Amino acid sequence: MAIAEPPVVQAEPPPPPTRRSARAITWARRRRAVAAHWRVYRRNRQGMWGLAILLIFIALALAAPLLVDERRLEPAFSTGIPFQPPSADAWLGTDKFGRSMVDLLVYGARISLLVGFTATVGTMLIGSVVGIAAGYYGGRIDALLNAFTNWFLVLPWIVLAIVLASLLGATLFNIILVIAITSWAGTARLVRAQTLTVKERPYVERARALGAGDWHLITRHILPNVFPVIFANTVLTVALSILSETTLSILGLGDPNSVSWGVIIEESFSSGALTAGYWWWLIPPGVCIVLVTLAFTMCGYALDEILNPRLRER
Amino acid sequence: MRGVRRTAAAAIALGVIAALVSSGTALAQSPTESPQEKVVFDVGVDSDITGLNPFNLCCGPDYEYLELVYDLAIGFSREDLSPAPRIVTEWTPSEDSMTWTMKVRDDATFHDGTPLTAEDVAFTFTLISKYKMPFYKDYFPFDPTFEVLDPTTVVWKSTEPTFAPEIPAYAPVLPKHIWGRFDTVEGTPSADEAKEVRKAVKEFENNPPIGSGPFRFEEWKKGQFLRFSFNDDWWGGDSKTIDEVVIRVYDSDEAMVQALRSGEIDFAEGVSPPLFNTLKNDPNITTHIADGGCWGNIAYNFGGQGETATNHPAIKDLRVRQAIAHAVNKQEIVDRVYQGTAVVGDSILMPGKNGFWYTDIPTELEYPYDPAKANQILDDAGYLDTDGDGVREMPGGGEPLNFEVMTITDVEGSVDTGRLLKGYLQEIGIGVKFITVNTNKAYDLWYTGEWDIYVWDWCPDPDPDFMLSVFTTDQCLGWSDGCYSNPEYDKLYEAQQRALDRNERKAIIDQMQLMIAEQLPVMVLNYWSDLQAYRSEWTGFRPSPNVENGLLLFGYTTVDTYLELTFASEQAPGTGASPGLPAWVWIAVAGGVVVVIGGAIAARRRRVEDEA
Amino acid sequence: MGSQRYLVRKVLHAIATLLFVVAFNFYLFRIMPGDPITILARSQHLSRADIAEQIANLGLDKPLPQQLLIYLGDTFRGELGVDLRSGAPVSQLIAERLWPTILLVGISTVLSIGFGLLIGIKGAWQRGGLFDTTSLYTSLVFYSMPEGWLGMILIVLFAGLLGWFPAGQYESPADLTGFAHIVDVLNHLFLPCLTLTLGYIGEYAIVMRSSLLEVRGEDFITTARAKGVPDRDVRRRHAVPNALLPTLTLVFYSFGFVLGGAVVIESVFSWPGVGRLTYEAIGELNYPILQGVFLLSSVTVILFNLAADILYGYLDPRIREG
Repeated sequence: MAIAEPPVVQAEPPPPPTRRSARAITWARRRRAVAAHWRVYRRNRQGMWGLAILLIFIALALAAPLLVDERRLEPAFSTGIPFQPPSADAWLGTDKFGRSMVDLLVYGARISLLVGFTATVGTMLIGSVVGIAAGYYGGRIDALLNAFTNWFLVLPWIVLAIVLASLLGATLFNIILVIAITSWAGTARLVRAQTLTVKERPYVERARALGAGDWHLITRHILPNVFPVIFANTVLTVALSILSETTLSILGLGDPNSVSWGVIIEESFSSGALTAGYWWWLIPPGVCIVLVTLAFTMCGYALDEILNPRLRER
Repeated sequence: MRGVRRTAAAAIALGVIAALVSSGTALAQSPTESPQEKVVFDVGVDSDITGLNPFNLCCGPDYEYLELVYDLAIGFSREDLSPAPRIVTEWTPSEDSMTWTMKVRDDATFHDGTPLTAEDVAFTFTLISKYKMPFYKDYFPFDPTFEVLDPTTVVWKSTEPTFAPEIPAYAPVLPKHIWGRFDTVEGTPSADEAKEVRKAVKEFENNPPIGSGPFRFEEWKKGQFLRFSFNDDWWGGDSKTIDEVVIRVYDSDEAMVQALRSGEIDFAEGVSPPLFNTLKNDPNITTHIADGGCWGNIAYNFGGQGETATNHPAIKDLRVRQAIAHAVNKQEIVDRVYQGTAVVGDSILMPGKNGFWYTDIPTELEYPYDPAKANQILDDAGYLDTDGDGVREMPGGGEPLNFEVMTITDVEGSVDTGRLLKGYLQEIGIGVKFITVNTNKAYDLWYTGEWDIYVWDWCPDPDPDFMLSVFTTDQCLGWSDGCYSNPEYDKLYEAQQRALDRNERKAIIDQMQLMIAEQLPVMVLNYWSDLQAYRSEWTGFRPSPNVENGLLLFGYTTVDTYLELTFASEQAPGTGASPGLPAWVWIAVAGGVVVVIGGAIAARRRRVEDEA
Repeated sequence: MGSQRYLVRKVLHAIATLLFVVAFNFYLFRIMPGDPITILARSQHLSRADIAEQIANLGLDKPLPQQLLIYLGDTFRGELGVDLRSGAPVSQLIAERLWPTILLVGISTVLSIGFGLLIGIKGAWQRGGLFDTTSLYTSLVFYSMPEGWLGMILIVLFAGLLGWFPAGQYESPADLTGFAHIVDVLNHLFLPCLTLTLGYIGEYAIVMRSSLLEVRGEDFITTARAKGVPDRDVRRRHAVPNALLPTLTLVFYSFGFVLGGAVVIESVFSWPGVGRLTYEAIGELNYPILQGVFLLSSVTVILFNLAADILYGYLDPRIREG
């Protein structure tokens, strides 16, 4: 345990204005770092493609209420003819209620992306709290949390998800909750490992020697240094969350009242769309899922290559 | 030295391949060359049987299994499902309807060769009624006893006048020499003794099952298929063509229909509506819409389940229920949810299954689709939207009419009907909050009363008693949907139970059906169909009961149909063989793998040796 | 000495995890909604008294701690309770369904590992080349694909349009024996196996590729190159063996999870394995079965993780000493 030299204390008096400027400096440094990363990222073709696809889908999801009349998605008010193949009226045909597939896909983007993002936020929150707590505090807390994490890693997620989904009922919120509960453990392990390395860095030890509290150390030093590493992981988690939601939906555990892409697949499959030849009902939602998860995965790998310099070509 | 080893390895590899190929082709050909071709009739279903024990049956193909292997004492006529002779050929009541004499046929034998006598019939009835076996016991009311007079005569002695013996007990006649060991208690068993026996009976595996039915049980591969072979000794006659019946289990409708199209199966039971509609255009396949025996409904919660109940006060107002009835477009539900395969329904008894007992409800009590009228009723009743949010409030303001609608994911059509209902209710200023759950959770909520409206179904028995009992006050926290209570209805229910004359009983039951239709504790939406399809080369199907939408198979006593089926084509249909690549392709692939792996190993060894 | 301690620690750890899973398993299924019996009750018109009796038969009316003790005792004796529908022992039901799952998952795992590693190695070594780009994007696409959906598409293509393979099931009920039976099963196996293989190949290829890329940047590779070792030998002797380590551990870790992955595929293809048993049990909330499957798959994961840890310790001396 190296003890930092005391003079630093005097060298850095803490009057409010200086502090504010210190923060400004930090922010400026971070902005520069982000800009530098962005320059590297821009050169990554894979990452740029992923980003482009993502932006299109996000734009669609955000603009959905402007593009599609929500009333037309209410089965009782839909005026279309069911099971119509693609035509000028409905570019991708219609479903069993005569609703336009395009409308459904656009609204599906909203729900699938919502699930992907919120489930990821949940996963990251639980994972980061557990991981940082374990890595930072160490000792008995670490042993306990680590054991807990390892237990969750061995639980068969699909069975656990099934039980939870049926226990809680099929609402969108519950689906998100189930995904977060079943997938945080991997993140926690990653965060813990990273926290352990960051904790040992000299500037953290110096700050601790200066009497910085746990909260300060965690929020100012550990988190900012752990974040880049888990950022790539976060982006990949979104893809996994969307896939998980699809799997749950295909097993009939989705929320049938929020028509995500996964729910569309389940509806078409359980109505026998494939044998009936209604390909426009089953293929497009799957393609959307592939595109979005692919996009997230490509962005994630691109970020991984940038933030994890060992992967960069030498 | 090195060279020799390599050559030897290559020779061995070649030898292995050659051996595989020759033995493989020989084996692959042998079964197809077997001299006697069995005619197999393959039936596709969407779920496996529960088990082989008749006391553990519940759903789906269970009853088809039961009827294939076992005989009923009294069966059902295929003309109109009225009681028909089976193992019991005659049944005559005494003057006071307390004693019924039953004649048992003398030419029936169990599959293990033991003759079936009156002893077996009396034993089966005794086992069920003495130990109160769930599900079957209701066929034997008033603690009857059964006496064997001679090998062909059983006497049913009731403690009260009854017409129960005339209602065919849907229970198999069990061989006493196998099941007799469970009848362990002399005299009347105590509650605990009966419980012990019930437990023992239900735990019996019953493999292989021995019955006296037209087919012998051959094998059951769980989750895959059941195989039965025709019983040459059956008392009821010979099979025209079929030697074996195979029931195959498919998890997805998709796979089942593909199998029907490819000829893997000959008959598909319970096809989903959209797939059914596409099968209509297939020249090789004949489709048939049969009565599904269940009705879809919305039911209302009147409260009464206790403190947990969260029923909305407006539900109790008949005018609200009437307005909802006017707002719901039953035909559209049939068209959109069931793709036109269901039938709009009106009464809690069904025109097919309950035939004789069903009453056609007059139009004014059906509350025909008329949203304007629905709005008018609510306006008149004082349910107004005072705050302009599109949802009406209770008269005089207060609680808005937002109903919690429970829809059930694993009940076909429930979720989709709920989605349409939401739109209909929106049009008359009623808001909907969905509670979408699976059946298990639905039971929980049902019992605790945490819902206002649910979309579910009922499947009445052919005898109307059970279905009618559901709406009695006594059934609250039993089978009642939402604790509906109407003393007048309760009185009628008791009256129909005491009515010994069929027509007298029918008159009372008519009145009860009208009362439910008017009072709307439930709203009957539609009668479901059982969608059946078969390969067109098969002939000999006839619907049972003999109406347009009678069942071809999987109905009461339709098991006889298997014996009458014939096929009209040069090649025997439905050998049960699945499509696939021929054996030589697989042998070639296996050979290829061996060569590649062998080559890789050889190459590696060569390199190691070169470097050494 | 150190390696022995490492081994003991890992085994103890696995046992502790196992204990947790067993206890967790018990409580998880006790908080499930609904009396498991009632789901059958509506179709059988059981009265409340009948239901109460069935619940008592299953021992579900006893206080929870007592149930836990009974459950623990049963579990360690290998008894996993009885199926709520048929009353058959769960252990027997699972055992009956195990072979099809092992067959399907085993073959597809071997295939996807084999092809995945080859593709990953070749791609990484020719980074940026045509093969690398194509294989990387193909891998990514399959990796991003919901497996169930892929299965559905393959059914339509190969079973519907082309009619080459059966759409589902494990075998024909045509009483085939010997080699004809094997061919029959292979034909049924083809589509689900292809689906799983395609689904997993991407992951293995990507992991192998990136781990090889990492190794390729290490100093000893540069040194070997500088010494004039031929490119092929650098790859075979130095790069691949080192890159295999993390990939193999991943393989072992993920092997334990295949049971879960099989749930969707087995349901789509009506494949009578453990996954489909699970799917069926979900529908009727047959919790003794779910509980049994849960235990089985957790134990599998724990064992494979233990195997991976041991393998890792064996291959990587740094761990043993640490």
